[in-house]
Amino acid sequence: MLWYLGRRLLQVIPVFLGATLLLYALVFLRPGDPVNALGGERGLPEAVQDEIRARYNLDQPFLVQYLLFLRGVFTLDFGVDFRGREILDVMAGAFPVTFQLALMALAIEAIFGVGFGLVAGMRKGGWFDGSVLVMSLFVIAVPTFVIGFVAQLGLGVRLGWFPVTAGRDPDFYSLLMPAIVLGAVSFAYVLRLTRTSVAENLSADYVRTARAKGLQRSQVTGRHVLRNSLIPVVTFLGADLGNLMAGAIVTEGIFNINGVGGTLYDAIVRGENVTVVSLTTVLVLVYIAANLLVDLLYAALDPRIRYA
Amino acid sequence: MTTQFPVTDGSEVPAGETRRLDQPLLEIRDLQVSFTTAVGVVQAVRGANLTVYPGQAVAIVGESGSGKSTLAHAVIDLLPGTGKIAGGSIVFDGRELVGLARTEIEDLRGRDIGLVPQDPMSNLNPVWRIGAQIEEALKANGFQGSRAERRERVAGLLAEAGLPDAQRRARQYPHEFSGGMRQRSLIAIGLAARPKLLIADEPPSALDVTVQRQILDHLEVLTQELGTAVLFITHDLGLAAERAEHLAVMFKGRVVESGPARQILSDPQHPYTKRLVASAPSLASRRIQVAHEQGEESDELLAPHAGEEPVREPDVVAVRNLTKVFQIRGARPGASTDFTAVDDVTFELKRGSTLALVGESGSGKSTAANMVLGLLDPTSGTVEFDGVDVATLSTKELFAFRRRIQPVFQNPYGSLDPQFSIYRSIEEPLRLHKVGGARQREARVRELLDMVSLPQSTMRRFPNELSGGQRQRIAIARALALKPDVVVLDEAVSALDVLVQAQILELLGDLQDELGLSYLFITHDLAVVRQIADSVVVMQTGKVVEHASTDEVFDHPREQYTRDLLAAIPGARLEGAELAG
Repeated sequence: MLWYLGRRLLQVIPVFLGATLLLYALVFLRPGDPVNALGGERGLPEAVQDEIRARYNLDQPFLVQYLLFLRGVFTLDFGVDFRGREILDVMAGAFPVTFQLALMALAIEAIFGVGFGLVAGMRKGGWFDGSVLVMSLFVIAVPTFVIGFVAQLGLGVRLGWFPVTAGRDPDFYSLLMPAIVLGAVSFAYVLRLTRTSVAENLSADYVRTARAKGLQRSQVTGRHVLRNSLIPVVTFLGADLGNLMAGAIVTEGIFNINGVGGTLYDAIVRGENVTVVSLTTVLVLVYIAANLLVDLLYAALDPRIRYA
Repeated sequence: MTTQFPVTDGSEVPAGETRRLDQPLLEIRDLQVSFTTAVGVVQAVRGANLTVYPGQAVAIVGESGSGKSTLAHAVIDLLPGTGKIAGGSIVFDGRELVGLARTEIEDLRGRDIGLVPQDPMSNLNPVWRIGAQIEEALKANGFQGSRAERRERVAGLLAEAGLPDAQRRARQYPHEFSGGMRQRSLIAIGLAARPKLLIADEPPSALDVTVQRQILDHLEVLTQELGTAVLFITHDLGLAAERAEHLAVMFKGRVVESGPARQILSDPQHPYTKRLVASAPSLASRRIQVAHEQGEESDELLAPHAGEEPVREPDVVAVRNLTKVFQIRGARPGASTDFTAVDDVTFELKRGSTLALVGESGSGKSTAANMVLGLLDPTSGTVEFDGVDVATLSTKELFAFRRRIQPVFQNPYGSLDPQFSIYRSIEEPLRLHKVGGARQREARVRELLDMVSLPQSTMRRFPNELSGGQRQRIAIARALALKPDVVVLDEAVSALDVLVQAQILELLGDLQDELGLSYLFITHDLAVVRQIADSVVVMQTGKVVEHASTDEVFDHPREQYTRDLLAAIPGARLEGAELAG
């Protein structure tokens, strides 16, 4: 197990280097000159532009810029953006709220997706199963921004159940509606995955054996059907945490949340390469960590999986 | 119920059964079970009757689809899918079970009626420890006691089922157990709450014969000690007759004949039972020589008699000192252990004859066959085909070599591509090897279907529309498409019901005579070997332990292991007893 963990952690190094190099190359190759664009329509004098380029090392060749960025990462000194803010502060401002939002969405989709999926799978072909399937198809088919605006208008403005926007330093309650919107699509997937998995497991031989032992139906469901059915669901949920964080951009926009999505968008528009790469690198690391966690959870759920 | 033949069951007391209490433990009367499918209602059990007395061992015999498992599952309300009891009654211990509420049935399961399910590989939940799965059965059936007492009881049950070191074993997971150990765990679960009736569904048919024998012996002793009645469900007449006093033969959802085991074996009444008794492979059966006998006279001119120096037919396949070592990944990187799957194996396959490669699972017989087929490279040793070392063949020559040696695999459900029509499956090798044009290939496919006695219209159908026996015929037709010299039959009849098995074996015998084929026949079933093989190679843990002609092996086995294998064939004891009597 420790061997496995060690190996997986070692794998982070090449993934980190590869991802940052690729990202850096991509933003470097972008057309347009961000420094020139800083001046707006009138433009900046040549000398000022050179001065800015020198300050941000933008006059250096690509590889040197990249290595300087790496040095910054390892010394935790990412430098400042064009507006003079520390990039580290920018990240510290953006990540916590997005992380909270993503975790809330993950919890919502896990709890409701597994719950609904379990009931639907147990009564496959029944009215609950049918209506839940149609509902999930609807959620998958309708784009997130539509769901977001409709929820905002309906639940927020008309009914007044939830705050319409989250704003600065949002609390749990004001993030609730955005989290539901963010988790809606994945909720539909989790529901369908659980449903199929449960229906499949219900006809497994060991479930019949469990019933033949004289176990009550609830015991059979809880101990023998649910645990075995969760294995594929956990894989999906783990991979989804990364998607939720990166995909929050639309939801954050609708509900006016100052998270990673908005910050990243601004940085891309302004051409602040270092900010873009820094934010994305953290997302990559979150992705890797989530996947590692899933693999460990996997082993806990299924004793047949042993890492060596 | 429409019975043309006498159905003797509990109501008439046949002679020779002394262990009989007055009240039947289980009495099934005119039971009807139906399944609702897309095409309508299918009757799986149509008016079955069965009686089991306390402490009695009864076996239901029938081929797959006869409704025997459905009947047994109906008793404890574990019918799969849309299965429903449509009529009749099931009285257990004086209580009507049909129409009982779910909670009442739940109380009954485990406590009064235990189940030992069929496949030990799929019937234990892979994510729970063995001990927890037994403990569950105790708790569900009202075992009063502390945690420690439960643990102790679990270990006791496992030990009772014949698992050594039970305390430690209880903490392990199913995947750490062999098939035999899992089967024992399932027996421990089935008997945990000391039921009055134990339903044993296809008892260890998935296991090796020697293991199967040990487990059945153990089960017999155990149930006798506890006074448990046992209801065996099996397709194996020999096993049924050996393990049960009373047999009920099921055919198409009906119990067509029932009575004391010996009586049914010696004097079957119903035509189906007669066919079943006649085609059950056993030690007494001889080599299938239907066509052989017809051609014997002309053969005599060519073939020398025993004792004379035989005219040397060159061996079509010669295997010399074949060894295969697999590296098994160790616990940490770089660490690996060697596992010798095939160890210094030598044998020859004579042209036009059948060589049986016999052994239990893990004996290396399939690995050896894969090397003969050229699908696996040997670690050392050689496989010579027609005098040429297969290892020295170039890619092109290897392609040509594959035409001359063809496999038929065990699972007729898995070895045909479900997306391919039968025509496409059989035609594929012809197309691959660029044999003839489209019209000639179609003619060849028709010819092949004739050869395996299937209607030519079969070629437009798909595998899922065919039965297991029909599929295996298709697999044989596919193997014969390229007119090979050698056919490797890897457990080719093991998955089939006895009657179908007998038909396929006969077909193989005919084809061999007609086409001069040589068979390498891989099996764990010695009873089949006697029917088809000329010589036998017995393998154990990768080594050849015995290599002789079939008659020699059966009549004068030299090695203890061979004797164990022979003794473990279900029904062997029975025949022995009959010979002695």
